[in-house]
Amino acid sequence: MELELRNIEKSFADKKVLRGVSLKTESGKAFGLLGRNGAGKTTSIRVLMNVFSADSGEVLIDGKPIDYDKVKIGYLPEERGMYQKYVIIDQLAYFASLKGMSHKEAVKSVDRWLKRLDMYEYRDSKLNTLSKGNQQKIQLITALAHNPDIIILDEPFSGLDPVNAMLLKDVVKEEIAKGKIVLFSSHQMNYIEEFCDRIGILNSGKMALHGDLRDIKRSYVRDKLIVRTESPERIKADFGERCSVAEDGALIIKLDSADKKREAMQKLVQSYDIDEVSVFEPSLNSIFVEYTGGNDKEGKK
Amino acid sequence: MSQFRKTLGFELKNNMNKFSIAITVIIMIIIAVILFIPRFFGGAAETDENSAADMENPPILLIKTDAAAEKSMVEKSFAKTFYDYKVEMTDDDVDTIKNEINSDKVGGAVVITGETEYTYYVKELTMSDNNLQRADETMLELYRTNALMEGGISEADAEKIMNTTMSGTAEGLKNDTTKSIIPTNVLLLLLFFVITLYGQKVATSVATEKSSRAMEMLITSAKPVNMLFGKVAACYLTGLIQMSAIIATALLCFNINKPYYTGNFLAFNMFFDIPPSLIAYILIFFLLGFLLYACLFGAFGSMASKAEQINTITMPISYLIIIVFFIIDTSIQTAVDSPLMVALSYIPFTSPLAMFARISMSAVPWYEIIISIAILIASVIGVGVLSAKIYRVGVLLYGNRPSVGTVLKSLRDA
Repeated sequence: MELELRNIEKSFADKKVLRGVSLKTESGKAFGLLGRNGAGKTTSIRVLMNVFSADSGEVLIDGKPIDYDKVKIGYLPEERGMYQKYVIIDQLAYFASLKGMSHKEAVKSVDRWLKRLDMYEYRDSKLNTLSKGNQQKIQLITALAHNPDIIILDEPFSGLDPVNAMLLKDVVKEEIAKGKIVLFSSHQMNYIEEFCDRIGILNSGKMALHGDLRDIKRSYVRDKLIVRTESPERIKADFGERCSVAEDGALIIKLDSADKKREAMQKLVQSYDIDEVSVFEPSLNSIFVEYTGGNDKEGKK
Repeated sequence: MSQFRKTLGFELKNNMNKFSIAITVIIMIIIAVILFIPRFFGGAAETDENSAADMENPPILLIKTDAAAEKSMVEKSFAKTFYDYKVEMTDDDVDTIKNEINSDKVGGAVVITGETEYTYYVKELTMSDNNLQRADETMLELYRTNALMEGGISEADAEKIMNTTMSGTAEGLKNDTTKSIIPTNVLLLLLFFVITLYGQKVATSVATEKSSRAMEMLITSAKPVNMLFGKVAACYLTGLIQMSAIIATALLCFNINKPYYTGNFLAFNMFFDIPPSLIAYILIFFLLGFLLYACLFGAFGSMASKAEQINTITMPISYLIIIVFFIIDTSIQTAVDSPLMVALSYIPFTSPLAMFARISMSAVPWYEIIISIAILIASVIGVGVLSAKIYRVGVLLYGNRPSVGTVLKSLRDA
């Protein structure tokens, strides 16, 4: 299955929120939708979910307009919220049944997810008796219980402790392995880099960058080396201004041109006590800042 | 349809929670207790045994008069009017009479001080004591009999004249509003109360979902029109179930105790004197009136960001219902078929109450009822569609309460 948003335009009152947004992803892949606050991520997601229609543009599945009765979408919103005073199994089964399951199927599926996320003991408790992290796990079930084809996760890791974050990572990997389309929206770039094959960076309602993450990184001129060593002083002294220090202490050496990298790598390995040397690729964080920083003020929701 | 059904089921289950059932049961118990009062405390049950006991030992009513020549006539007249007392003439002074009353030896006394003047003494004078009125009638009869006798008419003839009674009946050719005004008032109040109470519940439910952000999940899981109508239908059924339980309790308890609703409690009969046809009409107008207002409550509720804003936001609808209720309630006291009432019975927001009042108190042609209901159904559909659109936009608007202009703009963009 291939999901495509093609030239989506959307305005509210006089404000143009989406300006020709396009993205493409497919089953078994995770797509990272990035952007500063107010860039249009939530609006794009809402258009994709048919909460409101686009002014122009299309949402396509395998090249045809999406049929929302056939394609099931699971959504974990950034703004978490469920019925605080209602029993967990009742509301989870209700949400799953709203998305097309029978009540019996919904209860069965919810029970399976409660067990998978170590939450089964809270099945018959009220939501407000749970900690924030556990409430988030319960909310995650609303996005997964009805066995969706497309899973949209908006800041799924915020508020989770490392153990629960690990559990969620495993769950997401399982869903990707099952052939689901996973769409991530997050500011935590490390998670995006870990999961997503493709990314799209939204800036002021426009898709500023869109494509395969590896290709994007490789598209930068490969004229820098990153060197990790126990004794950086000699290298710094020898390379002078062409050597700088990265945040994590590694050395970055600027070459005259990209075709000099093989020769430079051999020289470094032979002349110095090197732990690791590789071609420098920009981090997703620096790519994000490059495409969104400074040229736009944070928008209002 | 499936989402509507599921929303309805979920909302109904949560509306009919333990707390809600407990409140309904408490109200039912209170009503039952109130309606059993005449049986245990009223002493008004006119069973044969009680009547016989009262007749064996009736309270004494002392009559004191200075006009010695008329004593027998006075005693006879008072004995006739105060049939439930043992009337005795006395020559004791007033203080002695008062002492006898205070010591419960006698039930009361009438001290006549002139042809048209007297004092009625009783230990505890209550609002329900009609002895003063009976004494008035007796004194007036005595005065007139005396006047007739002074004019040369014999005592027997005078008595005959005075005892002559007229036999007349009143017949309203179209209807008799004197009988139906009380049940109509009761039912109008009930309609007003139920529409306001359960309509407000729709608004509160929507605002709570929005403020808890559960709406984020709902709006991406179901169509707004299904969610709004499912919620409205659930609140309607909640109201219908709870009110039916309460009214059924009232009717059951009243009928069980009906023989005891006599004397001072006789007036209560009027509250329950509701023709069965009116029950059908109240169900129709409750359904349509509720749907009309509840959709609006839902739409307005969607514009609140917090549950606390509900009262302010829904104030225009609440005021509308209150004004409608008072106009109609005032109109039925004077002329239920006035041009104003006829007009109001076709206007959607007033017709549930106005047409119901007219049907209850006058003979409304069948085609007028059909037209009124048809307009109401069309309005419910129109308001329902508009409310669903406002709801769809409103639930996504957070932050400050949106102005009417913002909502209209958003409606255009949605």
